Amino acid sequence: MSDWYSMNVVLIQTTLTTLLLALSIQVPIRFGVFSFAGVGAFGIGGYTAAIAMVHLGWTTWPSVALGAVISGIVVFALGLLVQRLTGLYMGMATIAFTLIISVLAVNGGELTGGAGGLYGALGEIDTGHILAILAVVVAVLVWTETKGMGRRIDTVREDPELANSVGIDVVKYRLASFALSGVIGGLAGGITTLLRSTITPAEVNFHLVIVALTAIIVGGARSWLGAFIGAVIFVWLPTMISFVQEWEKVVYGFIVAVAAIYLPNGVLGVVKDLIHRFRTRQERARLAVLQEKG
Amino acid sequence: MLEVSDLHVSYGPVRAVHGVSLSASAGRVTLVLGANGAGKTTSLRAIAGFHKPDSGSVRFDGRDITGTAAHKVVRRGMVLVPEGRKIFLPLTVEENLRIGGYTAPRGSIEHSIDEVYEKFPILAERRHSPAGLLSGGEQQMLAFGRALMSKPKLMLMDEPSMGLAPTMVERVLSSVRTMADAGIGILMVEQNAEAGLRIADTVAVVSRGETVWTGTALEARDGKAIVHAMLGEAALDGA
Repeated sequence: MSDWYSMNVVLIQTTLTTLLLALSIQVPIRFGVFSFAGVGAFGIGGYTAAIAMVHLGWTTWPSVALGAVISGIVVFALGLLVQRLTGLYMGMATIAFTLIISVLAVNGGELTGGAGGLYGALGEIDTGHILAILAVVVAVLVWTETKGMGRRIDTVREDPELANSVGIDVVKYRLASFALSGVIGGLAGGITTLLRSTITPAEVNFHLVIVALTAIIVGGARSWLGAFIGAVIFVWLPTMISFVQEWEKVVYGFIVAVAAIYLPNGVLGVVKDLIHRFRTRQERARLAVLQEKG
Repeated sequence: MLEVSDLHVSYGPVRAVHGVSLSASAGRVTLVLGANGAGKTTSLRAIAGFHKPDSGSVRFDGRDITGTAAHKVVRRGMVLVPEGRKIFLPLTVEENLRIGGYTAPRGSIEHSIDEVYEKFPILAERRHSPAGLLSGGEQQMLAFGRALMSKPKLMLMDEPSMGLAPTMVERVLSSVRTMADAGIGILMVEQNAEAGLRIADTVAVVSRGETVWTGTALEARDGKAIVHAMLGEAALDGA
């Protein structure tokens, strides 16, 4: 166990930070907000944490916390601006936000280290720390997925107008999803940066949107567990298919395409559908009897 | 209870409603009739807070609620049952009801659910079924039940009989009557004028964005006045 752990510690930690990043995109989608601002939050959180360590001499966790708070606030403010947008327009606006963050980083002079990025922000982080933070994040998300809160969020996503007509303040929920996405994305960015000790503008880019989205599409968009499955698949896949060498990206693309076509709700969705189908069949038989009587 | 006067609503440059006046009171069914595109649904949505009216006023329970957002209107005791039922098909009957109780105090929800089951026993039998397995009429009753969960004083209904089998139309509309008899005010838009008139107390006819006739259901059943109002002079001239 410990041999396996020490051999794979980088992959394990990458899985956990990728999961955080994927969750920052999954949360707004689950609220019906097609926002990629979580990736911008990743950049803000990463740069803030690095700046706090390098320029202010802060220690690891205050730096990460500052990054999460600031990215939460910035993304919430972005939400105030764009929350009325829907679908693709929301996607475009939030991707633009993410690209602006990397442009700011390039032009930030000494503060951000310009195009070369910031170096020497090595935090003291081990796997246990990341797991603890993830546990808190997942606990919050489980609360938003189950019981009354879960059903209300389903309502806000599936039919905002109906949600309004039962008295749910849809705008409030949408804004909350921005703030939550900002904090989680900021945590992902801060932790990733301090693990690697550097951050460059090139890292805060469109490819992170793709990483997060593919994890959610393949794993499942409706639950944190789906994001986890997706993060595991996409972090570990490259090591398992290293024999295909330069064809790796093709295999990647193939998996995503297959998932999008055949598993619209991801790997997790397949399992849930099977359970649901079984229950529905029983219920349908019972109702058929009732309807015949009535 | 509800007093809507001279409502004007537009979608961008299109004036959908210009001069709708309606009223509704506790325990009575007010039926809004009119041709397609007359502005019935738009009026209902503006009253419920989904659209800001350009002018005119909506007074409910003695307070001016013109332009108040939809989610706040519910807390005042007015709830919209939208067109096309709009229930959550994957959720169970009971989960759908619980969502309807969002604005109600937490402790009262179980009791409200029981009350809904008492009114609609058909829902009680299906409480753990996904709503998608219910028939159209049952789904409409679930939509009523969900609205009742917010303990409304007034319910706005948009075409509750739409797409239902004739026997179900009767059942659904008679349950509307029952809710009114229990003291709830009903303002109902309905294309099926004949069935609607059987349970209505008061009728308002809307044509081309304005209220053109109001009267009792008895007068309306009399026919001529209403045909005249709904279809305009041409219909009678041609006849």
